[in-house]
Order: sequence, then C-alpha cells, then structure tokens
Amino acid sequence: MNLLLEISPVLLRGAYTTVLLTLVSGTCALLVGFAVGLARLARTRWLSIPLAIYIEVFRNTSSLVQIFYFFFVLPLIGIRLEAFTTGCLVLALNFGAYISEVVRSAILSIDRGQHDATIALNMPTSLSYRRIIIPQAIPVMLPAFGNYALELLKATSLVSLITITELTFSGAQLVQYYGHPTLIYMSIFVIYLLLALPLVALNKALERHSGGQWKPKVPTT
Amino acid sequence: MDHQSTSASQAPLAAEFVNVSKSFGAFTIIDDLNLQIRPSERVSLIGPSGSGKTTILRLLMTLERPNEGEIKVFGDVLSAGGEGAAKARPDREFRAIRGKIGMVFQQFNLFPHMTALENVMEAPVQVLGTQRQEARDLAECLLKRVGLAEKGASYPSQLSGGQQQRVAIARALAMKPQIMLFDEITSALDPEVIGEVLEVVHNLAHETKMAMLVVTHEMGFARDIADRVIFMERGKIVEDASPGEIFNSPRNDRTKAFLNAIKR
Amino acid sequence: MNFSPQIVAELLPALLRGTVVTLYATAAGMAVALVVGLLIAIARRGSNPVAVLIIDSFVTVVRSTPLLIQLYLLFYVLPLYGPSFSPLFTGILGLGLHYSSYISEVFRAGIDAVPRGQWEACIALQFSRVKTWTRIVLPQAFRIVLPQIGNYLISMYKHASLLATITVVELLGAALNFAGETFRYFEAFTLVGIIYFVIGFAFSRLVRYLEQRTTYGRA
Ligand SMILES: Nc1ncnc2c1ncn2[C@@H]1O[C@H](COP(=O)(O)OP(=O)(O)OP(=O)(O)O)[C@@H](O)[C@H]1O
Ligand SMILES: [Mg+2]
Repeated sequence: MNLLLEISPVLLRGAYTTVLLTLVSGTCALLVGFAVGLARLARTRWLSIPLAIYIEVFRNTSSLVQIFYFFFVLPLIGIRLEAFTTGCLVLALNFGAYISEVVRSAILSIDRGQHDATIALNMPTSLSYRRIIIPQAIPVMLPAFGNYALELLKATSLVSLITITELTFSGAQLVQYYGHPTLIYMSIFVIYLLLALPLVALNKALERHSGGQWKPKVPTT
Repeated sequence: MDHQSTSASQAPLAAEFVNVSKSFGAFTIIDDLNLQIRPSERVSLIGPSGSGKTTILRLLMTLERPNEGEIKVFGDVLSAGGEGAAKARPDREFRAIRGKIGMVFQQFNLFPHMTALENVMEAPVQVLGTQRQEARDLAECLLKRVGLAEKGASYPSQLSGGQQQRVAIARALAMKPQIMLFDEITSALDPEVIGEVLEVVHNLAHETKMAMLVVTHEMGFARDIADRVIFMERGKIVEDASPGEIFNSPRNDRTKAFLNAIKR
Repeated sequence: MNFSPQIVAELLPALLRGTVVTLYATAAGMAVALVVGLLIAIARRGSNPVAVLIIDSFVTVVRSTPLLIQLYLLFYVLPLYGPSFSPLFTGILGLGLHYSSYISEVFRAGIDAVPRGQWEACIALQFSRVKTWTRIVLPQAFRIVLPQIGNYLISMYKHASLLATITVVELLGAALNFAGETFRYFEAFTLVGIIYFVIGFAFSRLVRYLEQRTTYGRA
C-alpha cells in the first residue's frame, strides 16, 4: 500500500502522457484521414497513386515496426524529432490511413440523389461537400471513429518502446527500480481499463444510435 | 458555327439539344437528338420506360454529360460532347448558365439533416449570397405557395411523401430558374397524395413564366399542362406535336400503340 | 547512408527465420482465438445472467486494454504464481486471448445472422442440440464470418511483432537483435518493413477476394 502511494505520482504522470498522446495523435489522425480521404475522392491524378501507396504501406505493416522505423531510421537521414513527436507522427499516420478509408466509404455511401440535388441547386462541389454531403456522412463515420479511438488509446502503449514515458514505460521503469511487478503491472492494467471505459460506453451508445447495425472492429496494429 | 450563333441571337431558345448522343457503356440511350424549347414553353415528355426521358432531363441539368453534340441554354453552350467537351467553360461562367435551370426529382432528394425551411433557404443563402432574413421570407412565402406554411420547422422524415415533394418544388423555385425540369415527380407517391402535388405544378404553370419540361406517366396531367407533347422511344423523338394532336389523332403508329397500351 | 548488399545477405537468413516464427505465432494465436472466441460466443447465448455478465466483462476488459500490458502480465507476473511457459508460448497465449475478445463478437454476429428458420427446421427435424450446432448453424456461421476472420488474421499478424518485447525472436526481434549488434538500423528495419508489407499485402488482397466472393455469392 505504501508502495502504491509512493508510485502513484509517477503513474499519474504516465497516465497523463498517455491521454495527451491519444488526444494529440487522434486529432492529427482525423485531420490526416479527412484530408487523404477527400483527396482520394477528388481523384486528382498526381495524388492518387502516392496516397494509395501511403495507405497500403501503413495498413499492411506492423505499427510497432513503423514506430521503430521512424525512431531509428529518420535520424540516420538527418531528421531528428523528439520521441513524443515521433510517436504522435507515426500514430497519426497509421490511424490516419485507416480513418481515410472510413471517410471515403462513408461519403460514398451517401445517396447519389443528394449529389444530384446539390447540382440542381447549382452548388459548387466544395459547398456541396461542406454543407450537404459531409454533414450526412459524419454520423456514418462516428461508430468507426469510436472504435479507432479505443484502438488508439491501446496503441499508445507501443511508444513506450521508444522511451516515451507514458503509462506503460512508467510502469516498466518502476518495476526496474522497485520490483513488485504484480502490483505495478496490475495498477497499469487497471488504469488503462479506467481510461478505456468511457470510450467503451461511448461506443455502445454510438452503436445503438446507428440502428444496432453490426460494424466490424478490426484493431489496427 | 456561323449558322448557330445567328439562330441563337435571333430567337434565344430556352434550351436546345443539337445532335446530342449519350451512351452508357455499349448502350446508346440518347441517339442524335435535336430538341428546342422556347422560353415559357410547357413541354410534356412521354414514352415507354427506358426510352431515355430521365436521361434528357439529367443531360440538361448537367447531371450527365453528352458523348456527342451540344446542349445550349439561352444561346450559351452549357455542355458539349466530343470535341466541344475539351474546351469547357470556366467554372463561374458555367454555373451562371446552369443556374437558369432547376429540377424536381422522382425521389425528392431533400436534405434529411435540414428542416423544410432550411432546405429551401440553403441554396439562396449559400449559392446566391442572399441575406438570411430575405431568404427566410422567400422560403416562407414559397412554402405557403405549395401549401406548407405550417411545416417549415419539420424535417423531411416527419413529412409525408406528397409534402416532401412539395418542399422539393419550393426548394427548386427558390433559385428562380427560368427552365424547370420535373422528372416523374409523382411516381414515388401514394395515390391519394398525387393530386396535391399535381395541383401545385398546375398553379405554377398558371402563375409563372418558367419554361417547363415535364416527364410523367400521368397522361391527363401531361395533356393538361403542356403546350406541346413529345413522344419518344429508344432515345429518339418519334412524334412532337400539340397535346390535342398527340392524344386525339396521333400520326405515328408507335405513338398510337403506346397510348393504347396505357389506356388499357 | 548506403544500402549494403553484403549486410542484406548477412541479415536475410535471420529475418527469414524470424518470419517463420511470426507466421507460426499468428497461426497458433488464431487457433487459440478461434476456439476461445467460439466458446465465448456459444456460452454467451446461455440463459444464466451471471455467466453472461462474467463473459461480457471478460470480453470488455480484454478488449479495452493494450496487448502489450497483457503480454507483460502473462510473461512477468503469471510465472510468479503459477506455470511458467516459454516466451513463444506465452506470446501465442496472449495473442490468442486478446483476439478471442474480437473473434467472439464476430462469431456472435455470424451466429445471429443464421436465419431463425434454420433453428426451427432443426427442432422440427428433431436434431439434437449438438447436431444443430455442428451440422447446421456453425457451418453457415463460419461461411458468413470467414472474411472478417481473415481481417483479424492480418491484424494479428502485424500485432505479433509485440512478441519481440517478451524476448521472442520473431521478425521484429530478429531485426532488433541484428541492429543492436551491428548498428545497421536502416537495412534491418527497411527489410523488415518490406517483408511485413509483402506478406500483409498479399494476405489483404486474398481477404478482399474472399469478401467479394461471399457478397456476390449471397446477392
Ligand atoms: N447511369 C447509368 N448507367 C447505365 N445505364 C443507365 C444509366 N442511367 C440510365 N441508364 C439506362 O438508360 C436507359 C434509359 O434510362 P432513362 O432513365 O432515361 O429512361 P426513362 O425513359 O426515364 O425510363 P422510366 O420511364 O423507367 O423512368 C435505361 O435502360 C437505363 O437502364
Ligand atoms: Mg425516368
């Protein structure tokens, strides 16, 4: 019990970093996902091949390998980033690749009649997307976003392996210093669970809202 | 080229199809079609299913692009196929021309995330830059005109099919088009609400000067509303005459056959 | 920084051995996940509310915590109290249990997708419960969920790289060992990336093909 009190500030700081990582890389992943998803829909020729390659590479390799690649190889070609930045960058690119496909397929799921109506009302494409198509596509995307948020929270644990002192790395360091792996790893486990539960509840609600439709939830690692 | 520009300046037609062809894959849906619609003219377009009626409206609305030929609106080329497609107009000019056309769809295509009033206000505010208050007044006036003054705050999902279609008509009117396209606007409706929608269109025909191009399977309506009826089949115009002629004494055997089949 | 062919030649055998370990761990992990997932899905249909609650809690807890921590618990903590397994076995167990939480939901949906009439026909034909499951319901459910399971297989294949953290010398572990000794991070990770991509890409095309075939087949 004394030990728990002693280590709790470290755990809390770790949990804070985990939450921060999730929020920052999640926001960036959304931006990347929307940008890439929309760019792919626009079918700009010179962009479509590089974007397809980006998506295939990030979806078909392990995210842990991506993290190591960015951490060890980028400095070799002269790009030096802080570990935290590297972690956020990789997570954002990795989840952005998945989110771009969610964005794309949600937009494609909108009835063609809606596109037709915007043309009949003489709307330019940008306006049509901004006011009509995307607002209808977002509810379609939300359940998938909720699932990816949970997957992202879990995936942040991987950046512990490139020395970012988030929750998992804090735990590993504490175990090295104090021993007591049971207490420390169980505490970490419980903290992750507590962080995840609001997202679990949110996902349940989102799923109910989407008419109980069963959606696949594939983890992204 | 010379001949076209002079004919346009002499009598500016509201819409003109010049040797227009459209195919989907290997199927030619519109086959070298020529069609002229004068300002304020009311034209009914009838014909068997799959004959290309919807495609004509979609071509004029630029929802489809022709493979060959030119489509002109008030003398300006709106879209063109073949060689003409390459030299497309700058977007701003193109939209200035397209803005003269409005369309009402079989499936309404209202925006489900907006109320009836917002559906009607959206394009005037966002596309024409009308002040919100002015657009709201206009929208309320139009909803009243289609008999839905009370329903402005309702979402499309809260309205009956007939009410939704009337909102869609108001929405198209809000852009003040000079040519209005109606594509089987009662086909998706329950029989008991068809009348209320047709009445709205009838009133429009009396109260406005828009040119109207009406695709319908309601022959009584096609006859009453039109100055001119076009019967088409397999992507070609078969007969083009006054309603009296087409419905009482059609010249073409195919027109006769079609009308007989419908009556039975 | 140059990509040295000599280094690649030295590195490749180790990486290929690692690839075999990765594929083995993936296959074995999926076998565990399928068995446990199926048992969960079937048990969850039972009528005992306490059992259902326990199963649901297990699924939620396993699914909402990182695999990495679960591996640490299995590898560093479990041996203090009970059996101690080899790193590879521990890794397979971790992967299998983690994914059983996803797979159980896939099965659940797959079983739900078997039409009611099929169950009723089995009752009408006086099939035993076991026969109903094994001969009628599960074969149909399997066909429905096959592409989904394929997606999880790909996902697990990529997730198997976490086994490197509990000293398993799989693909990533092999690269880390090599790079640690020679400092040839560039060659090591680039090759690992390429290997992951080639196998992952082939896998995902196969699954997409399966997906299309099943949807066309049902249409
Ligand atoms: N986007 C498309 N792709 C392929 N074929 C199409 C497409 N749009 C229309 N067609 C085909 O073109 C033909 C003519 O269609 P169109 O909708 O213009 O007929 P219509 O006269 O309006 O028929 P209906 O009375 O049934 O509405 C049909 O055979 C249809 O299948
Ligand atoms: Mg039609």
